[in-house]
Amino acid sequence: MRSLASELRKDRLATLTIRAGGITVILLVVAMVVAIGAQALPLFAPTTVGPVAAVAEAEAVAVGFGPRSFSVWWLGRGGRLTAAEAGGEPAPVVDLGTGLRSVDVELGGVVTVVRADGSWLVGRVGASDPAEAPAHPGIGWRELAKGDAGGGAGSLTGGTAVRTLDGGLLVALWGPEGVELAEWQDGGPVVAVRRIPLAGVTSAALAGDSDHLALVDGAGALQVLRLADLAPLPTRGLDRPVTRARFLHGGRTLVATELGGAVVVAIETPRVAIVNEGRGGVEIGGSTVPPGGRVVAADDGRWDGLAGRTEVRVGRVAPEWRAIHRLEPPSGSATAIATAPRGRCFAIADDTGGISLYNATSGRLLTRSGWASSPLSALALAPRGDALAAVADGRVLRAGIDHAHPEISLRTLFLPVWYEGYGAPATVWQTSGGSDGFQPKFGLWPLLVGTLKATLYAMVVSVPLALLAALYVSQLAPPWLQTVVKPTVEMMAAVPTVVVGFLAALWLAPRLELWLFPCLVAAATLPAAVAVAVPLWRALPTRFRRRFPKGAELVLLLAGCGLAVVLAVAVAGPVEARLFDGDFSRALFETWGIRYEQRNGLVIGLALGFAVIPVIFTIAEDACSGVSRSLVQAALALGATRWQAALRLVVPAAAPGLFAAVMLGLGRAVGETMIVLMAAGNTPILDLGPFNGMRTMSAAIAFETPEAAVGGTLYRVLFLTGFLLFVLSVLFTTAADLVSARLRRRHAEP
Amino acid sequence: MAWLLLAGLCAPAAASEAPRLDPALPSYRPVEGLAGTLTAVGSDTMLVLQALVAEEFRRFHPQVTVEIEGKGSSTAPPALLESTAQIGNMSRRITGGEADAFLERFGYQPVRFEVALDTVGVFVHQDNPLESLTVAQVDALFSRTLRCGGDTDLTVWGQLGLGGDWATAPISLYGRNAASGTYGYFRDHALCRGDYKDTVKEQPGSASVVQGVEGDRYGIGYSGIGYATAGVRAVPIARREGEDPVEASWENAANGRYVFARFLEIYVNKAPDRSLDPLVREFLRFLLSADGQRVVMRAGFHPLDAGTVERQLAKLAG
Repeated sequence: MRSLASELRKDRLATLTIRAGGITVILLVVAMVVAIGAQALPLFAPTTVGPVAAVAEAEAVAVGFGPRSFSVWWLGRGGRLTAAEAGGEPAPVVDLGTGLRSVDVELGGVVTVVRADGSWLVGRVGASDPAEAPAHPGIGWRELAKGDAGGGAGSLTGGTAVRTLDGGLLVALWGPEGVELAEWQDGGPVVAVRRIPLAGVTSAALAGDSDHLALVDGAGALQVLRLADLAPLPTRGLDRPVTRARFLHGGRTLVATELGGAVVVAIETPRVAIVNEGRGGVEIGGSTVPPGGRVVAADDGRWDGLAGRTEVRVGRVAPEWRAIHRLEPPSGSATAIATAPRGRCFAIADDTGGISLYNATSGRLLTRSGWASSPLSALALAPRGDALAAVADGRVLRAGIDHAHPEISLRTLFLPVWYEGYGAPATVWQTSGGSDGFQPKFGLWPLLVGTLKATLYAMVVSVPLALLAALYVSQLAPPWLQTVVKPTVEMMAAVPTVVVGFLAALWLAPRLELWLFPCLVAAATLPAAVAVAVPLWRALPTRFRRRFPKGAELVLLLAGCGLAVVLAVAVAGPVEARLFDGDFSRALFETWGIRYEQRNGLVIGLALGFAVIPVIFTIAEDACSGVSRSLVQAALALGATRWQAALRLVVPAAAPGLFAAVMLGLGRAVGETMIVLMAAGNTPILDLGPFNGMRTMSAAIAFETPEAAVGGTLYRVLFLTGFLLFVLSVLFTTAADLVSARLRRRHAEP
Repeated sequence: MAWLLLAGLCAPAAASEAPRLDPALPSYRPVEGLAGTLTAVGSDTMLVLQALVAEEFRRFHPQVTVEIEGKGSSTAPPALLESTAQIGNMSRRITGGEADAFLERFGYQPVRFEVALDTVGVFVHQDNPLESLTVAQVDALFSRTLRCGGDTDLTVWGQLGLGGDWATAPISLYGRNAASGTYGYFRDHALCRGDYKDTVKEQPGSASVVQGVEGDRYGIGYSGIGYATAGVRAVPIARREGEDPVEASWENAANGRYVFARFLEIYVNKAPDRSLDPLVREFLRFLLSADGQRVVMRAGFHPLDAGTVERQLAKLAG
């Protein structure tokens, strides 16, 4: 009796322990999902503008930020430049003199002042260049260039200046008679002065980091010039009257406000010239181009197919500026545009006292806020894009902005985005550029496609091999073979994937490239050899077959396979020489335009397949062995062959297990990292072909985590990628469970 | 990690003619009783250099251990920011964004030290007969944006005037991963800040780029010249069409004629009102001495001249 009670107690204890363990596991998994999701979630947080606070009472004509977003400076009507930290006392910086006719503030605090007497002055407020930044941020003035009455531009009405990439200074000054463009070396004399005889210019914008100049005249016509040759570039969709225009950081995006209030984002897009070099006419886009004929077309991707045709040469001509977004207009007509030296955000102030904040990459209006009841006269966006300053009613106002990831939306993650310099919207994964002007591209499709591609090829290789091997080892193989094969396959699982990836990248990939055609031929002859050898064996008289011990047919089959490989290699050489001029991968490229990359889907299929085979094999073999031996023996007794019994009886009975094995293999392939990292080439392309590479989600995480600043956009996007990967695995596992359960039920019913 | 292993296996071979050490460089005078652990994180290009420097440094200071990690220059600013490393190795300039994040956290900028001169070579397979490239052609090979003035996308070797079996051979591109400073440097200077083609096979280390080209007859790739092997050849580069192509040699890097030359840099967290951690200070003093610059040469890079070294040492004093 005592022993029964103690057994019951032990039983309860065991149940409790097991239940606690199970619940802990579930809780841990849920906690992990929550933790990963919590890191990714801030990506989608809305942008908000904090409370607007007055920094000072001043009649200012221009406003700007120091290197940090809590230090604000403003230029009073009387020419005094004053700075203050949020909550601090205003401190005078410099006196620029009275009689200001126009003031322009560009990225990096470059201020251009044109006075009524025709003299002009360019200087820099604050310090945002890391090389020159003082240890503690203060706001100072540094004069960069100055001059009297614009040389040939007549009496000046306005000017703007920007820093160039090599540290020089570009100054554009305009008057009723034309525009004067001067280039200065840092601290040195004028390098070059050029004149553009274009009358009536009312405003201009320079892009120092891409060498472009945008001019707006009194009638609202916008012209974009390339500085190298001052040639006007074609514009498309920018034909309505424009009130003002500004380049965003990087100089490849232009923001313009139209007369009706609309905001237009234009980017530099390539155009191509297509020249027919053949003897006959070529049809391009529905019209026939005669020999020697030339068409210039927008490079929106439709011409890609032509590049492979020998009679046509596709060359690039000067790009055009093309309106790609027409954004939601601000509340009133625009009075100022402000840009930030990082990212692609910009703000527009209007005459109703409101400020609208946009992102040019996603083409979204991020937020809109009311600042004053009267028109805003000047506007500035902080260097990091995390604060706004404006002038209204004789007050300098400032507010913080809370938006960490303005360039991320579901649209930019999953739909094609039209990036700067691209001919058409595209889903691109190129996250870091190593310099500030870079437009990061967070299109997730290339990673999703890469993951699916790696998985697909791994499954194509591993599923048939592993399932057939499991069936063979459990049902047909002689016992001695079972004792050899099972541990061998299980040992495959013990090979570290780094080693597999290393071998695949440095040993397998070059050899596969060299032996590509023989390998492809062998892939066809091997199954053929089996298909021929088996009936041949069965056609032999039974008496003859009986002389061999059970399992010996395997040796014969292997011999047949060896023969098939030898045959394939022997045949492949001459065939390749005759059909493909001795180089199959070259023929692939010349005939079908398919590039053979050394690190490709085939290599990944083989290497990743190798890693997945033990997973599938072990579970599938267990499932097959689990089928009751007496059932099989009954079938055999009733006259079924071993093959019939295996195929008709064991496979259906073990189906749930087999399916689970495949699904587990799938889960393993989706998440595998080291092999794809080392052998897949890491090209984030959208192509499922077997002859080129891929970048999978797991490889992207492993590859790019070290460079992701904690809390940064890349960091969170990588967490989102991890979350998606997790969801994919959960989907596969759940599907596996559901289907196996259903199969089990079906087979349970007689 | 695997690429550390790769990089370690293939110690860079010195280029044909050895650079010369500036005789005016000061030699290193060690201080007494230095001990502790120094962690350096960042550039893969500088991995071998730092390993060799650490070895020599430990001869003077056996009590010091130096840990080095090299996964790319972009890993250096986060490491400095999180204070997981005292030394950030970078083969490109720190970006304004990275410097800003640092400024936000500490209230001052990280201090930059130039420690060596490097040349980025454009490598082809040793059998490749290509004589030279212009910057615009390099851009047309590697970029999808063609910002350096090229007008045709280059995809086949025949487009560069190569005959025979090269005429129709597709060009196979090798490059670094985005964390690499070489990737950012090349993007800024060879692609005119454009975008890489997505067919560039991104390799986790400089050595694997060279290995890739070595094993691929139709390959082309870029990497620090220190990683050149006998299986590849650096192509002379001309700045513009019509100008003389310039060999990627030490001499041309030092005199500024070769276009893809850059400084290898170290960033440290130094508060303006406090002196540097003695461990870091001594390490930099060693690296910026004749002894340290000799190691720079051994690692396959070009040493600095005495003037540059003096300017760097002045930053230590403040």
